[in-house]
Amino acid sequence: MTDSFKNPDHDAGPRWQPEYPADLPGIWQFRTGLPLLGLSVVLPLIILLGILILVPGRVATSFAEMDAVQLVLLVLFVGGTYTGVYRRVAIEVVAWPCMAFLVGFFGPGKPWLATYFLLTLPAILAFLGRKHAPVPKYLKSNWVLTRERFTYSTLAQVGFLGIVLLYCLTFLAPYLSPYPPNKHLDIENLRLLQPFVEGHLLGTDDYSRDILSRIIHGAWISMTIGIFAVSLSVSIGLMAGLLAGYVGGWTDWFIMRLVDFLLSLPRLVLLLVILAVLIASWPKDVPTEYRIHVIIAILAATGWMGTARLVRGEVLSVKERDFVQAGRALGLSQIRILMGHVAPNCLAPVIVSATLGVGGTILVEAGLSFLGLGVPPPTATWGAMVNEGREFLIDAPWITFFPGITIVIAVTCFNLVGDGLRDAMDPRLASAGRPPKGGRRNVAPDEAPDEGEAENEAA
Amino acid sequence: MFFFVIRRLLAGIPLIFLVFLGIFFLVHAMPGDPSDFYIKPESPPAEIQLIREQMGLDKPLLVQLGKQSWNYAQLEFGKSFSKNVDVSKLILEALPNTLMLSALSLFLIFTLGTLMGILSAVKQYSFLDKGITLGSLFLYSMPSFWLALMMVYVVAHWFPSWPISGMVGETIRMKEAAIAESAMLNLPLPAGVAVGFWERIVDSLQHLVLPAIALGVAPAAGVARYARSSMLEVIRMDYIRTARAKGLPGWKVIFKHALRNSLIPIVTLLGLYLPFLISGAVLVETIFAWPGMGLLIVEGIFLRDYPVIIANGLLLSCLVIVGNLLADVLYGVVDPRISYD
Repeated sequence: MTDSFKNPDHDAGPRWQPEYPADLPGIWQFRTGLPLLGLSVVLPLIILLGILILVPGRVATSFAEMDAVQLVLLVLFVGGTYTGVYRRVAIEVVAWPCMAFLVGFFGPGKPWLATYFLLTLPAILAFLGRKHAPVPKYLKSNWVLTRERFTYSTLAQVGFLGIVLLYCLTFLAPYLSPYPPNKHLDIENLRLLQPFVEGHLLGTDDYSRDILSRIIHGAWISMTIGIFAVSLSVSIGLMAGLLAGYVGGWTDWFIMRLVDFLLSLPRLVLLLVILAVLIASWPKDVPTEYRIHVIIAILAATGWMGTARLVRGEVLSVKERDFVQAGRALGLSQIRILMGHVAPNCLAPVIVSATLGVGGTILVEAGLSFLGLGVPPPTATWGAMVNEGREFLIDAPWITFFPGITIVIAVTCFNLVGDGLRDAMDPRLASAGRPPKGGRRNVAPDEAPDEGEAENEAA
Repeated sequence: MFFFVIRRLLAGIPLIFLVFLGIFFLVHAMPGDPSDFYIKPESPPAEIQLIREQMGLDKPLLVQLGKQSWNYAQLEFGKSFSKNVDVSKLILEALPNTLMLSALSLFLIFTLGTLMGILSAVKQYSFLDKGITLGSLFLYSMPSFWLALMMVYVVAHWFPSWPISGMVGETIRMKEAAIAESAMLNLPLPAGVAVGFWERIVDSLQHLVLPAIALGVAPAAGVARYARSSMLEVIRMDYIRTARAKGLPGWKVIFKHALRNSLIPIVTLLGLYLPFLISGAVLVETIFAWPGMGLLIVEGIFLRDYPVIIANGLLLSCLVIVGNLLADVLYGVVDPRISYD
């Protein structure tokens, strides 16, 4: 998260500096009563160590396979992570989206990408799990307060842990999956194997492909399409909302009518029609990556309206606030007021809706894959795997069951984090989470417990 | 109220025209055109020209647009490529089925959702509340098509006699076949072949239950979450305390005084969930072979049947627009403070 969302009296004291604890990253969280956050740092590290110990050969060969460009990228990326170049611009904003971009761009299962991730993971986790010097509350930026409130909710932390692990799954797919995802292992003897048999934890499908490997390799489709489409659609929605709210007049009218119109269409039907027409017009040998990019673009184009509406509402209230007036009085340009002062103050609800939107987009993508309009076979995607299992539903339900439950877990994680973020960003709206009993860490609960609680004893 | 409905219906017309425009240009933007379906690779150019003239494809785009929109305004959608039947006939057969499915799942969504929400609001912070909140989160994150398949698996295992696909049961289909056969051969009807009215209703309800549940569970979980928070808000109002103070039993306070006020934000959800429901119907109808519009459009897509796709997409959008209007009217029924002037 950026620091653009500052307390007005931020300059009253010394700026806080990240302080690196003496013990391993993640360990101090266990000591201070944040076991789940600690787990989300430590578990990936354990996975990493396990890979380095168990499959050193694969890591080494991935180095040998790299070409000059990839080596330069590796030096820039990994070197920048460790020397702290990216730390200035907040590593959580740069490093993982970079990885997501690389994976989305170069496709799944590339060992050199997994090696990038392996090498940067410790630095990223150490940064995420860093301990801050104790700072009085009035010196904390809103983002820091939000992060602290986020830790009140156990469920939100579980969701966060889940997302971190799913990303590890995505990036490390070539190292984690026991078999190649699309290989027909032994179509005579290993067909439709039951789950939990020797060597095939989740069984095999009717082409004798290992289901666990396919789920692991399918993760990147759902995760990258979800993240990419939502970041695209949020950018579109943010721009449209800012424009509508800030400019007003005919621009506002036009954009909002467009939003109303698009919101009243059934999204999946719209996607089906667009994709059906597009796919019909393509030549036979369109590369998989191209189809993924088109799907991302279409998902983004049909998903930005909610954000636009949300942002417009925020802008309408923010642009009347004093600091905007002050900016105008100082003679700042309109663009600078809009992008530098109005936009950052509209971000909180956008982040929440984006997190929830990733879950929804994963579901829509799975639906498209299920109907066979997503990424074409034999590429493994969760939705397509559910569809492949349909034929054998009665005899081999595990083909359908495991990919589906993975979708449920992934979407639930995003929804949990979204709910937790909403409660953390705006404590007045906090729905389920009660502040912890007795301040955790050095934080006192900011909000008194709900006053309605006492009246609630009846019924 | 009447004028409000009329005004909103009229405002829907440009929206529908916009959808049509979008689909029209989308279809025309693709390489090749609908005449390709009738043209063989070895056809002579004169024949191609003739076919294109017959289909009106040699005219300028704007003329085609005008002609097609006039046809569509008269509900003439042309002939389906794959079935060689009028598309309007196909849709007329499918529309009631989809409406039936949507209606039942809407009913499920709102009764189940609100009940769950009320329950967890009234017992706030109890285990029941936590269970419902967490459970609804899971259900909300569940892809409807997967839930449908799992339901099929469970039902097929434990209730093998329960129908899991189609709309008409085996016995009724056999009876109908017997009736048709005897009508063809001019024979008197065999005994016990007549299909009773109630028999038919029960049979379709049996077929309808599974798809409706699969379609309704995820939105119901969403409604439960909203209902919980809106109920919590209402429960803290002064008039609820008054009702309690005058000694009304707890259930009466909740269902008579609190329920109606907590329903207001939920009714607005109706408009939001309709597009969602129609989208979900596409997947669920495919799985249960429920002969509705969703199945029609999916079949149309796989058979490249453009008239079916266009007409279906258009009609589904209309359905949502009309549904939104319905939600607005309902909003006034629930909250009399809203006036439509």
